[in-house]
Amino acid sequence: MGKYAIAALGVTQQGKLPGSTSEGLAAEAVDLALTDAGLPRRDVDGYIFQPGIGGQNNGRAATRSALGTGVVFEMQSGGATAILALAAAIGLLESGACRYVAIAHGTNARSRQVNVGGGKRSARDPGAFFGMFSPAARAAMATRSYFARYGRESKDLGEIAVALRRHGELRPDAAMYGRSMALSDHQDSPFVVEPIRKYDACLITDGGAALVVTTTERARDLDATPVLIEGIGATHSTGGRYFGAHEWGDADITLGASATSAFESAGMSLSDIDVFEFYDAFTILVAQQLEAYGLCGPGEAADWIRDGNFRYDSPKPCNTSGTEHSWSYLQGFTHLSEAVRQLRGQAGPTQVDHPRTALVTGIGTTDAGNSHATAILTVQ
Amino acid sequence: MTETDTTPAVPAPVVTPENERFWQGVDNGQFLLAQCLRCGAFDLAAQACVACGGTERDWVEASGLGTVKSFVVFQRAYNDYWATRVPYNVSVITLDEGPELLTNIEDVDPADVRIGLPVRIVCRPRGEFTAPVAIPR
Repeated sequence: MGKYAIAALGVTQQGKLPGSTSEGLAAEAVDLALTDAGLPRRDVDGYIFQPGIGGQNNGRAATRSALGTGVVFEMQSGGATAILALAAAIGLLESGACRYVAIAHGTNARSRQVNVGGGKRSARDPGAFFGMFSPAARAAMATRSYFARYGRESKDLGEIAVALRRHGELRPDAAMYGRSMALSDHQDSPFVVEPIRKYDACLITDGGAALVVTTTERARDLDATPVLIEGIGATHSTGGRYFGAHEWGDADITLGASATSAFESAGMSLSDIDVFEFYDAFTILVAQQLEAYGLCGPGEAADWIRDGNFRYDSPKPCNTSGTEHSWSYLQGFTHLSEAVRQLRGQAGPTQVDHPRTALVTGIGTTDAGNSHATAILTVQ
Repeated sequence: MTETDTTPAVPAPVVTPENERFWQGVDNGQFLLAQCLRCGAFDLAAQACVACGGTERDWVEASGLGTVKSFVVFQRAYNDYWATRVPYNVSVITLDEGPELLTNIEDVDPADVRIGLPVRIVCRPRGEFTAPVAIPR
């Protein structure tokens, strides 16, 4: 690996953008990426898009940006899509079908007030007969199991919410800029689906992000610092064997396997990673990943954070923009864009000191269970 | 003139060719599971066996016994029917035969619902359908 790189990154304003459309935000992000790299728009001959939450289609962004696309398709694996799209882009490049592949995501879920888990469509899910709705409920199932297995409680997950907000609070580009959160705020927030509280779940926001993938050799001819794709791993659970609910109950098996696979394809290990961007739709996912990836022992995520880890200025910096809890909810594009910014030295107030290697994850729900993907990125 | 019932209807169970026999059984008060003919593993639907890859199954009457693996309590509504039932629990039951069933626990004080609670499955009317629900045993 290392033959392919992220040559361009475009990130729009994030948060509440009244009047925005998902196509418009995806197109804006693509345009920003083209400017970032000095890449002529007609050179982009591949376009992979992930619809925003609520199923908004971003395919038209390719037309709006007047790309020279020969290949356009949609990908959907929830939060794992961004990383899997990197792998798909590598396939298009390696096969000779494309020379520059743009990957984009745009969402105006906040302005449209998308009710995640509700609505007419969710009433047709297998779990609806039993009242099971929303990703929050699935995370809540896993959370209760976690509490019971390790003797943990809500305030342990609160440490994660507070740690994420601590980063978002410092970043002018974050939805939660300037808005601090104390553990008591987390504990006072109402249960959504018990035991998940409001602050155990991520934001719903408007925004877009786009990247361009090409060969490292071609990336070096462009204006931005290439971010090399060193390794990719992915796993998918066989969970969801009962009607409607996909529990992350097998997290330690499923998540760990993806990490192993990514490290092997990169020829690296945990100690090589300078900065981590873990998928954080729910606080329980962060706990599970910190433990499954070996940063701390099983059940010890909250203690590890209390010990001062996780902070952007600590030896093990994580989720440095505040990611989905405090920066913006672009599914896996949130973490991928922050990793690229960190490696380029563009993360502003929460910049890690000269990181060379970043690890990014994504977690999603498909009709077959739960997806998980891992990417390892470097700069030279 | 009779009063019109304006309460929302419960969302229908999703019946597929693979699980149709399960739902027919529930309608008749039977709790059936699909057993793999090659290795004996059980599933809630007649689909390829996760344990061995076998594709041949028989539907057999199951014990209906299990224990609570995990559960959640909905404090907000995502649906008009279920809005009238908030707060309500949804649980995952590990059946004695192995498969995991998503359902609701009834006939129990919410404070007594816990991981590991032994339950049995009973078939009860729910709207125009029948639901396999868990009750403490």
